[in-house]
Amino acid sequence: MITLSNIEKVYQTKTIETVALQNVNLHVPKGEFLSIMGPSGCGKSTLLNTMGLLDIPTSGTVEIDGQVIRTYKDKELAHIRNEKIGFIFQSYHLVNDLSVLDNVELPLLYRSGISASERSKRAKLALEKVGLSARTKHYPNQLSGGQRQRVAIARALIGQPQIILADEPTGNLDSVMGEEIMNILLDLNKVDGTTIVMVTHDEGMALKTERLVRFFDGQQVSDSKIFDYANV
Amino acid sequence: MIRHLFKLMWNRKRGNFLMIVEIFFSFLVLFGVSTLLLYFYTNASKPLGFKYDNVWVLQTYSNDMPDAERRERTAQLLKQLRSYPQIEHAALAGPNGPYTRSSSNTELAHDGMERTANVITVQDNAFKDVMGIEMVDGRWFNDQDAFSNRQPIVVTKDVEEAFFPGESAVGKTVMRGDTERTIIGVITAFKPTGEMDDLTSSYFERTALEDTASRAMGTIYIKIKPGTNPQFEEEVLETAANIGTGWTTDLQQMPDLRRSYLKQILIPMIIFAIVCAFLILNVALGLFGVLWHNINKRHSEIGLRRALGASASSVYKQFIGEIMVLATFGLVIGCFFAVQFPLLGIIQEVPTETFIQAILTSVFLIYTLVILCALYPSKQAAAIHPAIALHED
Repeated sequence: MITLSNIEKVYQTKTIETVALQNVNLHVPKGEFLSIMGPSGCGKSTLLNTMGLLDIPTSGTVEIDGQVIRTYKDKELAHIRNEKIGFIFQSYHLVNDLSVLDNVELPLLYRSGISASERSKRAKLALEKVGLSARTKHYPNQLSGGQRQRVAIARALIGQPQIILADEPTGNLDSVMGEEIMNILLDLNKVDGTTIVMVTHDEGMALKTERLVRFFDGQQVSDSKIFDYANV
Repeated sequence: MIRHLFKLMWNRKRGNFLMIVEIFFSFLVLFGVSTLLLYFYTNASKPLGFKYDNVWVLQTYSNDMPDAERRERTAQLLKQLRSYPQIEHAALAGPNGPYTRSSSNTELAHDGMERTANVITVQDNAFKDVMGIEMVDGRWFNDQDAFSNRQPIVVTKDVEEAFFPGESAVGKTVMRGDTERTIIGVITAFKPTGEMDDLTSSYFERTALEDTASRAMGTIYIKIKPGTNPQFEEEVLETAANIGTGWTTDLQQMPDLRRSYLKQILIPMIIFAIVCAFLILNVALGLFGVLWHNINKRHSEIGLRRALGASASSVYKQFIGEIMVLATFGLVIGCFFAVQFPLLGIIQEVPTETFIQAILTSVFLIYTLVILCALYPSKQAAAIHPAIALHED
């Protein structure tokens, strides 16, 4: 589903050169739930942004669903992000001036040929899936952290992406809320077969996934299968 | 997307209130200036109906001179002036000629319809030649008309069209008060006060200097041959002083009168337009600043939208779209007030079409202004790197 080959990302300023990723080779097969761990600043988010086509690597290639991405233009990258990738962020990134329903509809605004009624119908279904059907008219600031993250998940789901990239989705939540969110993600992976790549600091959450990749100083230091996944 | 933008901007109406107010006031100021400019432009584009080049206006004031003597000396002065080779034509008429800042408005009526027109009394047949007036139908005055019981008049084309649409007015009668006037001729146009004014209707009536029943006129309109030495002015004044002993005389060139007339109208208009331009410039800078600030506050939203599938050009279009939606809110309120002017007839001199044109012009200018102000900040928004923008929150 996602293949990263010899990825290197260097941030260059006038005085400093920072290597964020170095010689990263990673293959995420279709339907896998992969977690990425590592200390702050080790390049986890950069890796996720590279997978999500939000950042272009300095060298190396990104392949998504068999398509080599390196040569794509901005519009084509945006189209792939919209069609194939759903994002979930630690700080939810909801638009406060839009209702829950409108927030969830956002990805479909960038997809042609979907009517307003269809958008609304699909947004309601996505919200139902995360258990927020009763909150469609609420605004983000009227929701708890867990509810906001569920809205963000519904937003990631609405476009029926093959891949979900989650950047510390439980990072801002207490353990109960975090558990709830994790269960939704696991459910998505198991029931819908969605490929999920999750960056986390929480070892417990990571151990619930199928595979754990650890990073340190921009380099991949371990890659292990988690065998008790089936019993979760 | 348009619906989404309207929803977004409506939900942000509190935050954008000042910008909407700013756009609303800018629209009103632009509407005022546009109305004024269009009003004068529309007036100026209507035919003038006469030629002012090489026309001099000699005003004579006879003070206490007995009427008979005044008439005799005026006739003598006219005869003398006409004898000069530098003078093509000289006509005796009322003082309310073009650019003299005096007019004599009366109501002409026909078949229950009334029309305001400026009346100019001529006391010989030369006024048409002095002013280069063109006949459309019928004829100009002759000597018999001064004593005719039919009270002959010559009207402008717009009077004919108003009273007798699609037919000739020659031979037909109109009422001035209780008396009937017979139209003997129709001229193309004659804007009585000047090109900037909205009054286009005029009519001429003929009296005779020797007819003691009618008032003796004291203004002589002189058509000078092109290339005449300006010193000839002194000769004319000297002649007038010699013949009309004790008279007060004043000689002015019609192009100078026109310049002074235009200055009187254009200077306040230019000042108003400059003030308006500065105001709009301030508004533009304000809009630019507010947009810049808004975009800086919305980095994470921009990053989010990019992540969800918006391309850089979608972000660019979104910000342009947002400012256009905001402008629409301000313009809807502005238009509500602007349409009251033609609906309630607040300024009756200005026709409805001019108000509509001014509204459309102002709407166009406001949209252009907000788009211009939004171009650079929107471009900056589009250039924001999504990964960095998402990380900023």
